[in-house]
Amino acid sequence: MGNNGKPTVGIFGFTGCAGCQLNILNLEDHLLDIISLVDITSWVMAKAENDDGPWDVAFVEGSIAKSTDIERLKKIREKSGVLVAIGACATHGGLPALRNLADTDEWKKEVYGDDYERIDAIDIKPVSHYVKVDYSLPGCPMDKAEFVEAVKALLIGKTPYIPQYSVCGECKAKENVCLLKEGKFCMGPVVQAGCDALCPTYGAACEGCRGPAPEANWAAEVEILKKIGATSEDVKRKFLKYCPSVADMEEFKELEF
Amino acid sequence: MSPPYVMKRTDIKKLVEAASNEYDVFGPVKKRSKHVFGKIDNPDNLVMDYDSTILSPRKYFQPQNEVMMSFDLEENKVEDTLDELRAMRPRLLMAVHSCDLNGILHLDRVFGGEYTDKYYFARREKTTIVGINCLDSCEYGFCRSMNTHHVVEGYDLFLTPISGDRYYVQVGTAKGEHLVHMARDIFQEAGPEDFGAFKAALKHKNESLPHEVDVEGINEYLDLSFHHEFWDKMAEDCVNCGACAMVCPTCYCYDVVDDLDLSLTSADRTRKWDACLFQEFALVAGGHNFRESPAARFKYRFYHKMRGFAHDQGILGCTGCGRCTAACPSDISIKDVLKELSGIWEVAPTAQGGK
Ligand code: SF4
Ligand code: SF4
Ligand code: SF4
Ligand code: SF4
Ligand code: SF4
Repeated sequence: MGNNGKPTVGIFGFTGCAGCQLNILNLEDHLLDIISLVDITSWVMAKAENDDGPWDVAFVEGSIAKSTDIERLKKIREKSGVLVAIGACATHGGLPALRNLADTDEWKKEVYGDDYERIDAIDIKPVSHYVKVDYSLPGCPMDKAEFVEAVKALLIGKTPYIPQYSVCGECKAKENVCLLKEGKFCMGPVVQAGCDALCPTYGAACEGCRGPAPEANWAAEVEILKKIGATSEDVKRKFLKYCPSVADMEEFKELEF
Repeated sequence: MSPPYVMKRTDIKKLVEAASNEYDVFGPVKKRSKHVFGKIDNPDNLVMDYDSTILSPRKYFQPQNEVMMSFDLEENKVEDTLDELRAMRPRLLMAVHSCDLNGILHLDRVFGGEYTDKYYFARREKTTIVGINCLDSCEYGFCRSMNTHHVVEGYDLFLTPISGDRYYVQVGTAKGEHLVHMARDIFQEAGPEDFGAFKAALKHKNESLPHEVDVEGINEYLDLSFHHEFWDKMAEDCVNCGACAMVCPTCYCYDVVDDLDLSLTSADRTRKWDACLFQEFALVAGGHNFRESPAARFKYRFYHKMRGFAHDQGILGCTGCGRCTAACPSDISIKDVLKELSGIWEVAPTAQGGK
């Protein structure tokens, strides 16, 4: 608790586009209500004065891409009661982690020239790889409504709720025409719902930014996509694009593409 | 009961226009390559001749998200939404196929009875339904197998396309008669020649609608197959997305949640569509899940439709509309499931089937 009796909150960014933090700033209708309920004591993106904790709740955005990040993350964890990973980078590595798929020394040389060894770049991992994550708000960017829901849940002592099924369920409740049937490689069948099927609602295939649904039937999705013409390479790319940390899952390693 | 009428098919527009003075009109409209039930603000958008819609008319009686009441702990206030619902503008639902009219009758049974669902019936009573006869089969449906290709009730007006670009109009209720009187001049009382045309249409229907699946004795097949490996094999392709339940005209499961606002003292109590395919559906306090595995949940949907529903209501819980097949990302076809199931037991005699 802060001096004013309100829970203290810290919002932190690691490697990512900062879009999730920006999404919090974009909560114009709710931001004032939120600040009346909590004391945001650290948020470098939005405030000039920031303290050094402790925090009742830390929201952590971004993936862990440098060795110095690991120490910083561990400090935040030590000083926080609850840690919430926000956005695909923090929950699954996100787009930055696509870099893991290339040879690190090679691209470093290419980009930074002879001096490349100075650059601190490790294999990119999600936050949960290094510290305990209490709750995850997936998505690229994190869903604003889900963030507000999580804030409310934490304030009243409930577990923030994330749907445990896949996007198709939401997509059908919205009565969208199924894009698979139009030959588009949609990830909806295996991706965690909660975005209200945002992309298919606007006619774009789900790219899987929210990561796999619990018990995702990957093998069925491989078949589904291949049946409409995807190659093994296409399927793999689709599975890993936003959530490269999926490659570390046993279920994924066992898959035949 | 009032006598049947005939009307010109093109006069449907006039009927919709006249009805708009009193009702909000809904009916099939185009959505990309498919159709959905939507609001008809321009009668030109109404499609009377359509294959099927993505969602069934269930959404008009039990919407995807429905606020049942609001409460405020600070002010110690509870507000039911029923009064608002009962004061809503009457609705006219156009061009509902026989399978879906039967689907609505299924829902009437579920939401009626001892624990009547007032929200459902408030919407139901506010709605006038114009049904339409399908003379040819649709892509995925198998209504004839499920005996839902005809209706004896559940409509206010029922249209059958007949020769001469006309509809033969049966009046089911006083609400239907009221609708006729809103545009009386487009309806003519049917005469002997029209009866002939009606009979010819029914004959065509009888010859064209296939009987594809044999559900006789299905309850016994299901009892015998509960532990059959068939279910695990079928479930391999299922992603437990629940799309099949969302689109189904006879699925009715919902979850009730309190949508709290940021005051943390007031909330909307909302019910949302749920599906037995979902992991948390049979999860109870303490962490026990009655249907832990995805395959168990896949299987359960069929047992509820074809066994549990029949046990509770005396009829099978499937109208054969085919929407679940159309919606399944894995192309799992309910027709194939039923066919294979009866195939397993083809050689075994059953008490009811006697085969
Ligand atoms: S469009 Fe995508 S998310 Fe929607 S039902 Fe089809 S596969 Fe599922
Ligand atoms: S539809 Fe897929 S890609 Fe789009 S927001 Fe939802 S999870 Fe992300
Ligand atoms: S729509 Fe198909 S994949 Fe989805 S839950 Fe139903 S049977 Fe399974
Ligand atoms: S189970 Fe399938 S075919 Fe039967 S009523 Fe439901 S959606 Fe239609
Ligand atoms: S239990 Fe499943 S099949 Fe039965 S009504 Fe509910 S969602 Fe539909």
